[in-house]
Amino acid sequence: MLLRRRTTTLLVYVLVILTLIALLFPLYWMLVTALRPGNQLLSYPPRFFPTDLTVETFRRVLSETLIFRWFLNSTIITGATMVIAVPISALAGYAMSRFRYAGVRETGYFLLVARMLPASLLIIPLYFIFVRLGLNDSYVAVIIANTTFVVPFGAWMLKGFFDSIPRELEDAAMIDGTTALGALARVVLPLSLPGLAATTVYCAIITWGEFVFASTLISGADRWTGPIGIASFNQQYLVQWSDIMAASLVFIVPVILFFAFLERYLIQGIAAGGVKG
Amino acid sequence: MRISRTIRPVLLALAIALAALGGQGTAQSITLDMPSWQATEPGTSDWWKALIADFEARNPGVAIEFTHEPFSGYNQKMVTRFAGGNPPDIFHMPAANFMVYAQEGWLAPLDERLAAADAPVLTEWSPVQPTCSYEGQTLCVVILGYGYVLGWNQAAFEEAGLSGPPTTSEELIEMAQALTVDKDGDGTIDQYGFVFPTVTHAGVETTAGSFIFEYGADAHWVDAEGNLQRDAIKYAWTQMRRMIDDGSVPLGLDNNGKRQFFIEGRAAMMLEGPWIQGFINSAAPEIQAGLQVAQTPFGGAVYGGASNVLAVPADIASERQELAWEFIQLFTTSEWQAAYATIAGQPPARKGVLDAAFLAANPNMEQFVQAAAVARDYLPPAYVTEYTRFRDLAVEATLSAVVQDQDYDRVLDQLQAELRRLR
Amino acid sequence: MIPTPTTLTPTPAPRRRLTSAARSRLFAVALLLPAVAVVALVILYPLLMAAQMSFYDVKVFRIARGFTGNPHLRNYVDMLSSPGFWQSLRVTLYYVFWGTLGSFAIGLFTAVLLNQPFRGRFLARVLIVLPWPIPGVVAASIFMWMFNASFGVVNYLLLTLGIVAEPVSWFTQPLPALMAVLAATIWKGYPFFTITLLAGMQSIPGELYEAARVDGASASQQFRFITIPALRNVIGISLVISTLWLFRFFEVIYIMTGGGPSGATETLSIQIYREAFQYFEMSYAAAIGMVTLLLSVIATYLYLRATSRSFY
Repeated sequence: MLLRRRTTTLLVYVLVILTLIALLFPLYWMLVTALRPGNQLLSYPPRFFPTDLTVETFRRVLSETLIFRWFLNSTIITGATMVIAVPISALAGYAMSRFRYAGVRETGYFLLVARMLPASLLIIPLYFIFVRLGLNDSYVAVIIANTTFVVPFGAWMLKGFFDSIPRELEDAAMIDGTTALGALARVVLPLSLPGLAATTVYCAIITWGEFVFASTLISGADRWTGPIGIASFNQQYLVQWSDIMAASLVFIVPVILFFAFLERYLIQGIAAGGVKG
Repeated sequence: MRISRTIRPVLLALAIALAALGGQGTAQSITLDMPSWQATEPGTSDWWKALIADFEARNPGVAIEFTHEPFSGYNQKMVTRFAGGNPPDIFHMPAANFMVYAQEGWLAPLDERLAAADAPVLTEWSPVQPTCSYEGQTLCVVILGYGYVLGWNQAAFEEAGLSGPPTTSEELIEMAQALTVDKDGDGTIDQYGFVFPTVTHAGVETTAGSFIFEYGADAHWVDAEGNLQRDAIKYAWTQMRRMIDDGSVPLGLDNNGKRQFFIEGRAAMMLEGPWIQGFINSAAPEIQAGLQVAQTPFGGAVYGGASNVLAVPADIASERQELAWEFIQLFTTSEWQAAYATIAGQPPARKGVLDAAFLAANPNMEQFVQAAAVARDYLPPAYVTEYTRFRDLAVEATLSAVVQDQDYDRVLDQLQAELRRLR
Repeated sequence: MIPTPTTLTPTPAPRRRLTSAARSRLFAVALLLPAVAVVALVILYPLLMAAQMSFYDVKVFRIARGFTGNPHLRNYVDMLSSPGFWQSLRVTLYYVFWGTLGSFAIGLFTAVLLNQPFRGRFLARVLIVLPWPIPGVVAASIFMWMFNASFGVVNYLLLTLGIVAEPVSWFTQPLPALMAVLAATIWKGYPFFTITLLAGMQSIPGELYEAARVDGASASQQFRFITIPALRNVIGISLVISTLWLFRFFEVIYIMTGGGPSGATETLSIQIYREAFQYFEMSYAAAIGMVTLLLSVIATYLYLRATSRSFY
């Protein structure tokens, strides 16, 4: 939906800025907390533009903790999960979109059911499985677990996006001699880049922030992922607020950069009758 | 001599293998797995590492892998490990979680070993060591047994023209009111006299418990048959309610907020365990100078308990159990117990290991030791096995009575009914 | 008569129907197999264990021991006769409904807004997504501080703007506590909708809007009659995903209110965690889990029915 007149553009700008301020205020608050010394966080009335800022917390978090190690570990796990989970989801989503056999529907529902129980009920049997497989304290276990989380929703998300691509395009390709798989690869996938990008972003965000299974299946501070590292700033009685806020803000940077990279695929219009840029 | 090209790599591999085997010598080497949330905690981690280094020096061929596990989620992970058949070798746990491991039979009984080794755990240990008993067996050893102390801001007292910390709870309430001030006259209170948690959090129960203990030498939430000690509880709630009505207490804080208020000088007094030292150390220098520690003003009744304990898992190889026990024994020596105070800054569980000179030079430590020596365990005489559930019910009841202003008898009736439903 | 070319040369049927139905089926199975394999191999066993556990008396689940005694329905009876359960059920439905609605509304609004052409759109899109990867516990902490009755910035703003006369005690009263946890939850949840709906909007051909404008349709009419119908399937599935997520999500509530005051924010997911890893009554937790699963199935079915003409 495109509104083209000048005044509406001004209105859009105003709305965008107001919306950004309202929605990002908590992040700004996190930043302010991270930039103030840990023992001076509770001034009232709240000072929106405090003057006594210090980068000491950021310096300490970046140089005295293993945060870059945690980034690396998170990147490995997230990258591997994406490479495995997104194609699997795409295949399944395509099947759910194009094939109307009875079993397909039930399979789709089965995938969703796998995501209907909370982690606390699944963790012990799952841990047992991985220990038995010799995957205790291994990234492989975490990658497999994360794939299991991402695939059900990823498949359904992609089904939704594939549904909006007319079947006639594949039929036309196949009349010309392409195989079904080729039609998927050469016709459907390029048109569903926004959907693929959205699903990939979803996968990245879910895996990047996953805590319960990563913390159970991995041990050792140099093997932690980011969320575990951030959680480790909580001692039994002492909570290091500034450190947590600083580490969290630093932690979301890689995945946001990744999103920025994918963003142009996210908004790529379809070639046929393509809309804006 | 020319060695054929196919033989060369085989010889090389053989040589490496022989070198590796030869290098090991005849000593067996074992690595004990010891996860802990204190692996990087300032103070305690230094003490652990020194203790571990000493243990490794005394036991060549044995190494302890001391891994850091985040405190949040620690118990969940440990339960998962035990349930999944992969327990650690030396088990360090928060005492609050002890019951599930005891009930599942996951901990090795230590009584025989304690008796055979003539360990001071049976005689000169923290008064809350009975926390580690389950069905007549000792299943763990208390590391930190604590009694609550009163943190008070001397600078705030002097500004308000008050001298010294309160010594009775009536003084506490009066002084709290006098210490609640709006310093700059802008209508908002800058400093509260006293602070305790007023949201759903275990800290609510510890505050109420402190007042309950003051009521009588045997006063507790319940008696041994599980009946609520209504007078004691009503007394505690009344005292808490008075401070809230006086406006001396900020509403809506949890334990973390309480501590943050105290170290930023926004609250003049709070109840806390000996770990208050860590908070005081983290306060800004100008405030830190005024923060003091005193005994709680409850007529000698001190609320306390065990903070964390050491245990030996039952389902590990007996050789590892022996080594874990050796480690615990080293931990109980007076040398390492004294080091718990000098290095970790916390009161040792073993009695009489600190000399008077040290205590005189460290007045806060003297307060901690004094409080720990007379502490009464927060565990009630009944509902011990369902303590977590009991505690949550007590917290909700206290909040209903004290913050939401409901009728005490009605709340107590409901609490009693809910407790009855707990098996 | 000489046969004409048209009768001699049959028109080739589309290749898919040319292949036997069996090959087509096989293809569908092959496409689905990796997903089903991964999910089934990993989740099926724990899922069945959890379901089975709800019929026994397990305090802590241990595979080695198996399930002793006879299966029974006592956990379900206890659950259904406990007032805490029914309160949790109400709170859960309230939380899931408003959480989904709030996230969806903000997500849709921001998606439409960010679909407009304007300079700096790229930056705006990146910024709008920032709350999504913030860990739940961190989001809970910052919102807890913002909503604090004594020093929180929310009360400060409300007082300064004259919206309230005295500070709201957010966490000691039921409704404000719910509003606070919903605020944190929606903040973390809306970017998912923003991205998904934005991606979905990309496949709506621009000509439709052009034609509508030429016909004199207003912006809101374009929205109602072009945008929303075209996004139906995407809306449906994203609502399902968000709802299923909210049924299980508990970190925010656990940290902000612990389920209080007096259970006003205690959802089923909080209860499950408590029963499983605080009270160690895993059979009872599993029974509640089965109820959550049932609710999820019902919600999924309703959503998919309502938002899809040609769905299943």
